Amino acid sequence: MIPMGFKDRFPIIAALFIIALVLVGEVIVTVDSRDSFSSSIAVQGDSVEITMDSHGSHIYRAVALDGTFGIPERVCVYFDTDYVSAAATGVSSTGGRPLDERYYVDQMHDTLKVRGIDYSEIVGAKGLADVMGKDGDGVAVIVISGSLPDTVYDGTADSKIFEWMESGGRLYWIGGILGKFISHTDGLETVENGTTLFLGSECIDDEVSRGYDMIENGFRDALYIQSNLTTFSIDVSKLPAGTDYLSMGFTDGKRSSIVTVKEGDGAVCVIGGEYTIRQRIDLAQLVASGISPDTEIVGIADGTVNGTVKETIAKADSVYITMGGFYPVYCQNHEVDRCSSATPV
Amino acid sequence: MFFSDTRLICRGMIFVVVIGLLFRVFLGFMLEYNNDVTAWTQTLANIEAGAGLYNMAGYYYPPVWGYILGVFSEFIGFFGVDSWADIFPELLFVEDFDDATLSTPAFNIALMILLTVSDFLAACGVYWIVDHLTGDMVKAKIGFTLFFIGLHVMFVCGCFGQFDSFSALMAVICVCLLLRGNDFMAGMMFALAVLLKLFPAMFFFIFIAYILVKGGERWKHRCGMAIAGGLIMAAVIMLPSILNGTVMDSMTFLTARAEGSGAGPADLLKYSSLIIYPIILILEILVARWFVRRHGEDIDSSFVWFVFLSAVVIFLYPSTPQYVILLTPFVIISAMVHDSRLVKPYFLLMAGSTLFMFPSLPMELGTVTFYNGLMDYDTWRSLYDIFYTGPFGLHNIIALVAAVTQYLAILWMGYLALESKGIDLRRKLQKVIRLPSGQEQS
Repeated sequence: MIPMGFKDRFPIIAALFIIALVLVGEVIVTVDSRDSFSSSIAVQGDSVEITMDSHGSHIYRAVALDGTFGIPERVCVYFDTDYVSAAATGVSSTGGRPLDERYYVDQMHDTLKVRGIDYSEIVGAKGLADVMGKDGDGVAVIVISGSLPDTVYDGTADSKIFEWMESGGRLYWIGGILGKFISHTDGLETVENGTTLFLGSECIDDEVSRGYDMIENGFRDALYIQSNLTTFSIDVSKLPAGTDYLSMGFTDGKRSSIVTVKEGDGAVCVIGGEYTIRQRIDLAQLVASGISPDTEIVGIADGTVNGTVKETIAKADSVYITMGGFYPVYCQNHEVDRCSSATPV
Repeated sequence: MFFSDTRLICRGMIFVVVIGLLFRVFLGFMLEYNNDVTAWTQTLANIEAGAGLYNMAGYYYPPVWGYILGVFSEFIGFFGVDSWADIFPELLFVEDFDDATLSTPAFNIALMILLTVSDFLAACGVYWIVDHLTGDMVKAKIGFTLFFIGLHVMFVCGCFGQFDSFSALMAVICVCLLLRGNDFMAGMMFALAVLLKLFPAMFFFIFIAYILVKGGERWKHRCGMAIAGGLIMAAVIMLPSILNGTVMDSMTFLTARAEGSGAGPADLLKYSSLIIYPIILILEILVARWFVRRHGEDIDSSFVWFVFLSAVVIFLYPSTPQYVILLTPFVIISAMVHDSRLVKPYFLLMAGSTLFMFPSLPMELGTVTFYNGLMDYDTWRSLYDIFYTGPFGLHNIIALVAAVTQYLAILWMGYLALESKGIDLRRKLQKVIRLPSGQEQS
């Protein structure tokens, strides 16, 4: 007969503890949502009061920005398996699963959702043509295929995409040389000097590179920019004189890891590298914060939030809040002229 | 006597626990392998942002560790660990091979606490089994000590931040429950162990064999209970993944390692695992069959010995140092219960596995350099260059010596294990290649 002391009960107690630990964790993982966090702003004269709510303890950074595009009203991610893509297959930074185009596109939705954009949609070539057939103001299009479908780009300056950008459309480009390839259903067509149509010069090449010098304009820290990849990004020294652009992140001496270039009322934003987690996070930060070539940082406020915290920041066009630092758990853009002091988001 | 043979909590045990805790705190403060630890920060961010484990890239293991991290996220939030990791621009040059992200000291210490709980419980499991089989409290305490202050165990806890201790804990508790006849709960624990890290799945055959032998006429009932417990637990754990369609994402750790393209050394290693693991599977079946035929009178003692042999077989495929934590409790138990000669290869394993964590020493010193300022950047950078430059690289030399040492220790264990069952490999080898006779083992 085995004596039923504490020692003998140890396996049962340990097992119950482990099972409880795992099951409680399962509930937490399943139930946790962005709704555990919120923020709102209220204008007070020349400053803005920010109210933030957090579940658990997190660092926050609030950035007051002038000259932004504002929150996009529509976000489209281009992906069409009927059209040949120039996208390569990257490997996620942990080496766990190849970050191919499909996986990247799937990831974009949740990455944007963390930043308050839960309305992003995947559009194919025809859908993209519909989008770019209308006014581009307030519309963001993300292209990660390394090529543009023939429904919007034909290798000439008359392509639909240019008029769309001129009217305010925001194009976000990752992977491959911008403008080099037209995607057809039966293959890729190479465009000689295609980049010049977008940027005024052949300022993008395919040299594999990384930037090790931070661009010291404050944006990298303000938005927690992570990626330093500069492959396929813009060599700003080759942009035509007078080009309105904003670069941020890192430079390899020639290319900058992120460059946004004015195109009429819109812009094209080129993010260097090929398919990494960090790049995807940076892309989402740029889309959600509405960074434009004219954006300036007006003020920054840092701190820790656990429960409810109030912060004051200089008044500007918008306030972009990140909680969690380089591992964001919540981000939100607030447009100051639209703010309602009683509506947390 | 250092350990009292009448009281569970004696001065010796208190000393061991305090030493183990202090050393882990020291390691957690001084060293942290950022490559693995920052994978957990990404997972935590995904969880708290409401993306679960698999909706956003960053977590590639089965869900159990992710669920434990869910509890951990509440723990660190409650205790005010507000900053988890930073990316240091001055470290970006390492990113072809390493990571410029360093976890914060507060996060490291918090993670160390979580893993220490697991280490402690696993050590208690070792104690329980040795005490159960021998009735010798002193031996049980020595077993506890060998695990809790095993150098490589403490390093994996305080420095590497990997969860293999939980894998060992669940496997040990599963064995304890089988010995107690709690088959349903043992099945639940087995399912958790497999859905934490897949290695414990290899114990399936020896566990079933034990139930077959010990169960007697009731073996079908006992087997049914164990399998029912396992299936129910697995269903509960996998339910969110099933509903979200992310079951394959939870197996990425396995499938990504099995895939390979090209013919570089890493790819050859991946291809070799596709050949060797099926062989290991067959060996595990043979081990279980051997137990059924030759268990002897003391079924429980024999079962635990065969679990040890089964664990040795798992690591016939060379592994990185954190994985052998799964083998560690079982070699200690067998050393205490069956064959004290196993202590020597255990210490060799400890040495090899601990050394195996030093190729990444420069990155492990990242926290003290970039957060605490205890080492200046120039010194750190010189150390980094010593380790990683040159035609072969000091880190490769250390890794090679460590890997060979670790593997020799495992082979030595296997040799002693077979010898104790009457299979003299040396004599067989002598017949084949006419080696000179060695001295008898003491």
